[in-house]
Amino acid sequence: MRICRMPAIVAVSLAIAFVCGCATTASIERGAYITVGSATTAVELARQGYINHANECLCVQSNEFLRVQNAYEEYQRGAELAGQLIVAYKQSTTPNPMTLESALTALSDNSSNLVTMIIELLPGKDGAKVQRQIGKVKP
Amino acid sequence: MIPVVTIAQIVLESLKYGSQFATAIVALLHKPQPTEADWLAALALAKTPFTAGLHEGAIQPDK
Repeated sequence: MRICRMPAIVAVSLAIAFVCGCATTASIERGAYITVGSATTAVELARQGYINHANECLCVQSNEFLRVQNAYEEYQRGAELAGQLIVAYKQSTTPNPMTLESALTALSDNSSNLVTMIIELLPGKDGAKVQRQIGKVKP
Repeated sequence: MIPVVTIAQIVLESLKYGSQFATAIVALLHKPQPTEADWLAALALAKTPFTAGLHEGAIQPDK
């Protein structure tokens, strides 16, 4: 049933894009905005899950902690770059959607790798909890 | 400007696929474009220090 619905959902979305006229660039921007918000929220949930785990188990060793911290700081550098690209996009008189794509690339690769790394390091129930929380992030 | 009748038709059509989907459609139609401040707010979470919330002594030395 769900499979049968998908083309109709796509059709409705396309209809909106056509009706909005202005929508091509606008919908790309909106989609990118949702992606950025979802990625930063997911990473923060994973970070909190990892820190809670470290506080509770007192079993995380410094070499593992530093490895995750380095990955997190790499993600932060990607987010910083994404922020600069987005500001440039918003301030441009002729904004280029490719700038947004570069920003998303800078952010999304590092964020998904980091979330995966943290979930794999967490014990089963904690990893599952973080995954459930991330699943509830509404774009 | 989008005709009101068209918006109503889209919203009614989207309701067939669940209220959540319809809500998302309504938000998409009505929310203005994200401003620079909106974008920076979305990125602000990434500025959280990695060790925020970590208790002192929680990390063990390497064995």
